[in-house]
Amino acid sequence: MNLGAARPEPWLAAVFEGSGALLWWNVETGASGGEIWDDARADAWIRAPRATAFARAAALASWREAWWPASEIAGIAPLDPRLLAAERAVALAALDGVTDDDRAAARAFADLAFWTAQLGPLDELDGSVFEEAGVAVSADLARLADGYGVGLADAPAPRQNDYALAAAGRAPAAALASGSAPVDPGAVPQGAVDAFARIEWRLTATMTLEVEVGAAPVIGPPPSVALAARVGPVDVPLSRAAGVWTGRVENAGSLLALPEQQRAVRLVAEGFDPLPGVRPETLRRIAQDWS
Amino acid sequence: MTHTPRTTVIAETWLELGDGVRPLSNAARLPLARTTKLILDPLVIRPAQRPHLGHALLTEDAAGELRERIRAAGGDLASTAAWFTMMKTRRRARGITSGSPQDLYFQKAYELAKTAGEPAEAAADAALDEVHDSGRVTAAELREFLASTAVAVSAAIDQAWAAERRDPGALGDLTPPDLAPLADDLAAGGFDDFDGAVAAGEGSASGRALAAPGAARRAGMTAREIPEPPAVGEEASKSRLPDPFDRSILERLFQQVSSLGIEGTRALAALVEEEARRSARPWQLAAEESRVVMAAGLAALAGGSAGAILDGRWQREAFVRRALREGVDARSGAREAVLRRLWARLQGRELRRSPVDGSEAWDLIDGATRSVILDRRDAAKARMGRA
Repeated sequence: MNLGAARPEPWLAAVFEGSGALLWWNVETGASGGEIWDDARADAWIRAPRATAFARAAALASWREAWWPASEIAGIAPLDPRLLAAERAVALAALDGVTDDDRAAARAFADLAFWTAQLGPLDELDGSVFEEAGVAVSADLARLADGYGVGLADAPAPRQNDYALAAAGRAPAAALASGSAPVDPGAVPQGAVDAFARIEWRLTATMTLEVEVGAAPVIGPPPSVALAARVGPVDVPLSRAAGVWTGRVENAGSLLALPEQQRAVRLVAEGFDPLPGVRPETLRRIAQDWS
Repeated sequence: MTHTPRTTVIAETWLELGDGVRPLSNAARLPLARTTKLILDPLVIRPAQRPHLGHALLTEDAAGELRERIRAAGGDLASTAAWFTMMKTRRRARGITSGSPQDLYFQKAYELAKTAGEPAEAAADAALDEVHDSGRVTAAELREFLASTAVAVSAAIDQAWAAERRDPGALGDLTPPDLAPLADDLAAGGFDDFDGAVAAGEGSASGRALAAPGAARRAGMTAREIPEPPAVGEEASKSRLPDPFDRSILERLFQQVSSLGIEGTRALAALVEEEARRSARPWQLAAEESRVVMAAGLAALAGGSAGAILDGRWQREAFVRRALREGVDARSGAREAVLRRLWARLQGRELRRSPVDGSEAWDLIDGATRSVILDRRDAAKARMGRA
């Protein structure tokens, strides 16, 4: 049985997996709805306002972890992954007993531990979910995590952020052919590519195909993604350094024989099914309106 | 007649218990998952003895009885909460960080509440010593034990398998019973058919049918055409476990042995002996209840209304995985993975002497499915270097 607003497209859906019910919030419109798939399980919590408030907090943290369109180009700063994991963990701990996965809180604290091991402990717990749950300082957070058998690192692990400006463009060699296309954020995992970058390619006089696209700014280590650009029929494996993905393949002269419309470029991430219909401008608007 | 969801009765009555049970509650003042799983169900409500209190939907009378049971346990539960808090405080003070306090302390705290009165530091410390006791048998000791007694263990396995072949039971043929109606009944929240299936030995019949060439392989239990007696085992790795029936005795025991609380060589020998016998039984499980759950799981994964509910999980998962921007997982191999997970959980329950009853059967089948789904999600995350 469905209730409330219809299920949004997945990339606009902040979801909470409750016991017996999946809840969703449309991050564009704010409308909420859900699918009750087991009445008897869901009945105890689904109409408890306190529970649904925490469910929404957990869902929105998950959405930002997945879809926040961090971008150098659009000036959207990356979010601190520790803070997002902490929000999610605190909200899920508040919902312990009403999550579909009865280890959801423990898993979320393990995620938080992963990030604090990378980036050091959180100094400030800013956000209404912390206040609601009575978690004021990081010691409260550590105590809560310990309740699930998860230790949070308390020694800072200083680390360079991969949040440097993209390297200044080299003067491109004269190209026999070139092209570009906007990034489709639905084609790549979170943290890989700047959602507002363009994928640029050119074929040099020596028949080398070069591709470049801006990386997503991230706090902490970037995700490991096997990314390639597909220019017409040619795959160019890309590697990430200093905020840019670049790659080149030689002997790519065959591209010249193709009509221009067959030289379109797109990104392919290994093991990742592209999600159609993602609109970067909508993501930008949501991020800019987020408070 | 109106029926009230059991979860709602528990939630409402729990609220009446007030601040005393806060340490066992979430921020919405509902019982924690482990409060229900480790304290309320097995120690207070005990649906194994009172099946009418185990149904997902309760009659008015049953709802009233359930309320009374929880109210009557209110003092014990508040005391359990106080003991749990004391144990956590002492855990921090002593710098203990291993294990999850809820998992390790909840039942101990309840036991203390029933037997030791008001929380006291010394008793809490003694309880922590007991729970975190290093004197227990470890996986390394199990491996050494098996290495030094391999010949005898191997003989015990052969003997158990020979005995089983001599006495294949009343239903010795290889035609499995049709448990689809049972699976559908369990999925719909009923479990009255469960005891009938146990009494009729339908779990055993289903397990014996796996002796037909290819049957156990198709159920995900073995890579072989016909199951063979297990090896004693010299090495075991969590990340490289064979299919259940192909696991050595070591591989069947090493993950759980340290949490079983057994001490000494004699207890270890008994554990190994028991595992040798279990390996020869239908479904390679000792209790008929466990076998009926396996058989019902097999039937549920084949379709029917039970299968439709499990399919619903995979359909939601496809949406959730997209919403979480994780690559969508093909469902290939999922059926066998779910049956293997279910088997491991049932064997674990037998090892912990925590018998399964009908009221838990569907949660076990559904929970095994959820667990496989979540594992696949974790694997996707790990590939991205995000866990």
